[in-house]
Amino acid sequence: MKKIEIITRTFKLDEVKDALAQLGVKGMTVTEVKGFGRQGGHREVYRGAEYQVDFVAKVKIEVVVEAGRVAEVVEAARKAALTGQVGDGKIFVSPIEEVVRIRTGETGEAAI
Amino acid sequence: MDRKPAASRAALGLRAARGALFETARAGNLEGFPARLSAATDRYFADRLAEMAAADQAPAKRPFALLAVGGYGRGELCPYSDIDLLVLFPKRIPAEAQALTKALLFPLWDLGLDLGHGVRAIGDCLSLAKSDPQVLASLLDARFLAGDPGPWQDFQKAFGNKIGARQARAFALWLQEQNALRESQFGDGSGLLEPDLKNGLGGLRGIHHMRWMERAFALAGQRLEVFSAEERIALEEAQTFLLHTRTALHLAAGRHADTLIFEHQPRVAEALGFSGPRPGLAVELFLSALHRAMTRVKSMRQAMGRACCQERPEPRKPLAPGLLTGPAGLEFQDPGGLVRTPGLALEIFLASARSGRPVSWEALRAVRAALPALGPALADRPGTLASLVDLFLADTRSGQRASQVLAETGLLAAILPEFGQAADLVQFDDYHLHPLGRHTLECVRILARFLVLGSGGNQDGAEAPGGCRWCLEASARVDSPATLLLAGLCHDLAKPLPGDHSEQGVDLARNLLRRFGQPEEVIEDVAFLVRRHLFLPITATRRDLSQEGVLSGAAGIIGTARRLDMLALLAVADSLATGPRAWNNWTAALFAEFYFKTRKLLTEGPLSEPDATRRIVETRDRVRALCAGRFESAFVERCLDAMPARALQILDSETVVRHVALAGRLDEALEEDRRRKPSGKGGVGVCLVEARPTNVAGCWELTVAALDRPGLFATLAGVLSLHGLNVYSAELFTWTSGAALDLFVVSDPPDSLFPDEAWARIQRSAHYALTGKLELESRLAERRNSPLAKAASGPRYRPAVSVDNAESDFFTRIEVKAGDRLGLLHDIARALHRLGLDIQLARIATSGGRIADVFYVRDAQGNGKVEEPERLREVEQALLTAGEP
Repeated sequence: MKKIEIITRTFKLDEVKDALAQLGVKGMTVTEVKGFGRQGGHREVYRGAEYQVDFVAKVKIEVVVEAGRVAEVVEAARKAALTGQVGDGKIFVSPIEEVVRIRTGETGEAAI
Repeated sequence: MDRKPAASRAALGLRAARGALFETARAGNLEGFPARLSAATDRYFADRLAEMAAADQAPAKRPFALLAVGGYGRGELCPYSDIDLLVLFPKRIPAEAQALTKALLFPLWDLGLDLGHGVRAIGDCLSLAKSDPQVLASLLDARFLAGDPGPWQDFQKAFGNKIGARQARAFALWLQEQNALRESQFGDGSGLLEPDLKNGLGGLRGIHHMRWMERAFALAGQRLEVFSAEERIALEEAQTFLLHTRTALHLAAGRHADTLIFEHQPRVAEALGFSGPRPGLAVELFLSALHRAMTRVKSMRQAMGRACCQERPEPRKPLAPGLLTGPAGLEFQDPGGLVRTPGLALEIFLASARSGRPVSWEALRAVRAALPALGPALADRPGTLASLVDLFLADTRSGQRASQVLAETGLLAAILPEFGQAADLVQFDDYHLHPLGRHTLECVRILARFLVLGSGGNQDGAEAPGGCRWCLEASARVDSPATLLLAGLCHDLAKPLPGDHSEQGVDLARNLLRRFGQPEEVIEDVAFLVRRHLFLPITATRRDLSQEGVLSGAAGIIGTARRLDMLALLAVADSLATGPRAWNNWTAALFAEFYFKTRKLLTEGPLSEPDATRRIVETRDRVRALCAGRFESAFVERCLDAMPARALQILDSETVVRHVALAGRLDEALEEDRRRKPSGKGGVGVCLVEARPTNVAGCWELTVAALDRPGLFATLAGVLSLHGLNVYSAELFTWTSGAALDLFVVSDPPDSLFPDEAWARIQRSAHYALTGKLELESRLAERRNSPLAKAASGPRYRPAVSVDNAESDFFTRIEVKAGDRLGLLHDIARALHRLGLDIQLARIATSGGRIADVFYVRDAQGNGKVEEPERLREVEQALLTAGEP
């Protein structure tokens, strides 16, 4: 099992969600986050003074999928989140050791 | 530890029933699967309600009806289809509804089924159906499952009263829009090798559309009678076939899926009972059958849509003798008399191509009914072929086309049996996008488009197909459009025959055209074009076009500029029609280079040897002039002496100047490095990368300067693929000063917004790889093993190696064909290096998961070409190993 974290533009959330649902991804966790990447925040001028805006608002979508499905899920998420401009975000893939569904105690792939 | 909820007996029953059904289906019996799975699910709901009553989890106190909607409502559940439910209450939704749905659905949820449900009162359903056509569609499929039939009957009555003729028509119009959306999103499934079984045109959704239209109009009190009884039976057969295919696809994929991708096709074909003596044939037969079924669905869906969507029927008007234009498209004045006037059958399609109006379903039915008589009446007549050519020239729109419909009715096959035998042929690879018939018609369409645009029919400045403007110049010179179009029609028709289809196609084309009484000169031109239709793509992408010998050989084969024009157009149209994998900007640039160089040879005669020498002298002079004031003249002279003569022969003077400048920077960098590392290691790993966009979109020219050393090219090739770049070609220049200036043409870097960062990273990686700080093999292996690396779709290719010593006086030409994979060029180059071979030029043609890499090499020991048989065997063996998947 792998965890896929998709950090993307806030307005792309729905498109990514739909693309993942289309693939039959059953659940996801969404968080509002702030950060910066290569775009490095940006400068804004307020009443004559320059301010550095360090962090940009993004959403983070986390899903856990069977290892064999990582490639298609990442590809679908990337397609949906793509605008081609700086600030499109990133996707991280990491291994997951175990999952438990609290209601039933099911573990492993049955629980995702 | 585990505390699973007490299992429901009804759910256990459903699980067992599903298990048994899956078992039967896996064993190869798909008959009635969707209906039986639906029935098993129906049983669950009845049992579960009884179970709940018995366990005192009394269902609701108020009456409710349990309805199946969506695919479940239609009774067509595939193994992993969603199960959509509606709990219907007469008036208000009571508070206990939530507990009810939980008790009903949780056991299914725990079985891992995909569920969708709604809880609504009758009034909500009606108002939603009014405002949202999607809800209307789902309610048209609703089916009573269990509970109290009262609310269901009330709903049906009210629903029937709500839908009037106006609503039905608005709904049909909405479905038309959806159909157009489906086409743009999912494509025309009846002509794709990886069709979407549900949403593609010709997919199951098309059948649903028809059913919805019929039901909506029936509620409004109108009976739609578009199809005959036989046509309905044929549609049912198509539906069964599609449902079985989708069932087998779900089983093969192990989950919900609608797109029939290559990976699953062999298992699906087997499950549907297709088999063949060679692997792949079963799939090809299966896909042909699937395309036929989807074509039927697609065309019936179109006819139904036209019948439903007229505002007010247009009056019939005469169009041409014997033809009318009516509300549903073009019609025959006397459909029954078609047998007496067979020419009208072609005329109606020609009129459709010219006017853009479709041929009506009734007219198509008349054509189909008259086919046995039309074939003999129209075949083998010069006039028929002339009409076809007119039709092709008029029919250059993309999308739904008259010639496509002509083929789908079977008329084209009746006239040209050769087309009929080839039309359904599917090639099981991931290269061709369409079955052969569709490919042929697409190729003809592109040719016709070139011809129309080239002959001045381009007032609105339309883009030439594939962006090939030079093709318009070529097409303006074509004196016989018919010849070119007939060649396009015939070029692949021999594919079903054993043997080389280009060779076999010659006889086929000759016989066909003679039967139709074509003049001998047309026949000979078409025969030539069919025989040589692959010559240009192969030569342009795999030969060294700067070698006079290659071009004069090609000119000798082609013979005249007139034939070259036609051959080039056919090659471009054929590649464009094959699919995106056969065509990219780099291929386009190579085709153009071949065309212009060969054309020059054919019109102006060959360059003589002294010319080649004069060219070197001229380039030197121009370089000197351009360098004056920028570099010391002694340095320029040193460079001009050090660089190989070939550089001055094939590069333009600006490029040579850039090489001179780069050599200067390399000298400085080397000197600096040696100052810092006096131990004798100085200079190792110094490497400069200079990038420039080429005038071909999507292609960059990289010049890499470094101290020459064995295996340098292999290292650079590995670095480039590590950074996700495709190498299209490479030209290696070794200077007598010990420098190597390697010229690569590569694809856009993955990050086209910041290309400079990519080049800087590549320069750093090359430096590390050359100094042993970066282990290329393991890094490439890491990339290949990433969970994100795409598994090769389509069949695997065995590597093949061929050696040619005749083409060049100085080099051996080695061609390696293999299935593409990350780092392949690196592995082949490394093998060549280990064999002690120096690479002069590399050409890399990738098309659809296959590569054909061509290397011009010579022995590093200075023995020139590789000629001893034993050595050749050694080379071949090593390259076959390197080319393995």
